[in-house]
Formats: sequence, structure tokens, C-alpha cells
Amino acid sequence: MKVLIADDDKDLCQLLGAVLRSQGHEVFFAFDAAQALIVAKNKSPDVIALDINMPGGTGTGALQKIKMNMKTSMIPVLVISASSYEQNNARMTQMGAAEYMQKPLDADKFCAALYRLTGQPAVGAAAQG
Amino acid sequence: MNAQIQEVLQRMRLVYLANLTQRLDAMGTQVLELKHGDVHADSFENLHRAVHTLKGTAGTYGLQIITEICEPFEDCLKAAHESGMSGGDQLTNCCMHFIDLLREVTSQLVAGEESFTEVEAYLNDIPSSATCSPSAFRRSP
Repeated sequence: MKVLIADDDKDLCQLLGAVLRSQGHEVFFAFDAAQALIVAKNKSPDVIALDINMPGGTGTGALQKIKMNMKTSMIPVLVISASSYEQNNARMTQMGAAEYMQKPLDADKFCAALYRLTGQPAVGAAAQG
Repeated sequence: MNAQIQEVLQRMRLVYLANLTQRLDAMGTQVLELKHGDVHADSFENLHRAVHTLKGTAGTYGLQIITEICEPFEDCLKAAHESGMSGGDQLTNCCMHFIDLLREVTSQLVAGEESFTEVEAYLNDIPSSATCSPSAFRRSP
């Protein structure tokens, strides 16, 4: 699958990118909201992991733009944030997010969420039993 | 856990840890800027963001103890901000204290330490700390 990770934290992007690539997926990065929309339009990812706390509070704006754009509105968005699930989940879902996941992320659960959102079978799932 | 993911995490964690000291040094410099009053308007915000980011990222790398230290650190910054305090000795001493703790734990992680019972006990006592708890920065009603 093709995954866009939009987060200004490059360490986190590196890690999630390495994890997803190890599972055979294609990964794109965006480090701010404007880039996120451009990459989403140009690369047509199967799923987007979007940090809503990018500088200037632009993550929520990016979510709105992704959901309002014809080319990207159908792409499921997994919102990721260090802010609490209780504070944000309902609001993000109302804004069109498919799921909300609070940081620190569990790499396994993160991958599982992406598989769930894209309807793809998990890599290595059969081997794990 | 998926063995492939586990392997990637382990490899990436070592690289992240190797760079963490540098990040903590940068954080220390930001705190000193606050102390000296020679601050850009967004210095406090940058420090807060750095701590918030570290809290989220370190845990994802499997370094939960770093996340646990960042939680009260961030809470103190939030409380100070809400009280209109963005510099001064009390705040900078508290920040340096947390950064020192993060440095110490980072050295131990690099050395392969996995148990942090004492640090965890210390963190549990933070709410009663007179100088380094969020309540220390809240204005009296």
C-alpha cells in the first residue's frame, strides 16, 4: 500500500517509514500541512497518517482541505497526536478523520490501523497465527 | 509483536538514542535563553513543542521512561504558561532539572539499562514537589 505520513517530527517519520518499508509498503512524507495536501494530491496514497499538531496548528486545516478536495476526500485519514484521545477523537472524527491514535504510537497497532483502514491484509499476519 | 517490526524498532532506537544527547543539549540552550531574558517571542513555545515532541516520539521508539519524564515536564511548562510565566529562575531551574534527569536516563539507556525503578518512584512523588510540580507554577486563587 501507499502511505503518506504527514508529521513535522522527522524522527517519528523516519521510524514509521522504516517500519512500513520493512513490510513492503511505499511511504511518502510531508513535514507541514501545505506539503501534506500537495503530496496527497500528487501521489494518491491509500491512506494518510496526519499529525494535527504541526506548527501553527495547521494539521486540522490540512485535514479539512484533504476532506474537501475531490482528489483526496476519499482517502482515509488516521489522525495521530500526542494530545489526549478524549480531547480530540470526537472532533477529529466529525472533521472526517477515519480514526484517531494518540502518541506515543505502538508500531504494531499503527500498522494494524492502516491495514484496517485500507482493507488490506496485514503483512506477516498469517505467520503470527 | 511482528518480528520484522521489532527488529526495525531496535535498530532505529539505537540511532535515536545516539542523537538524543544532542537534542537535550539544544533543549538546555533554549532554557538558558529563557533564563537570560534574551528571548524571542516564540522561545517558550519552541521549548514546549520540543518537550511535547520528545514525549510522543520517544515512546514510539519504545523509550517509555523518556515519555514518563516528559509528561510532568510538559505539565510544568503548561502551568507556567497559564500563569503568565515564561522565564525566571524558578521555571528555568525546574526545566534544567528535568533535562538533567533526561540526560541521566539517556546515558543509562545507552549503557543498556532497562529498569528505572528509582526514577519512576521519583516521578510518582513529583505532584508533592514544591519546586518542580505543575502546582508550583499555578497562581494562588
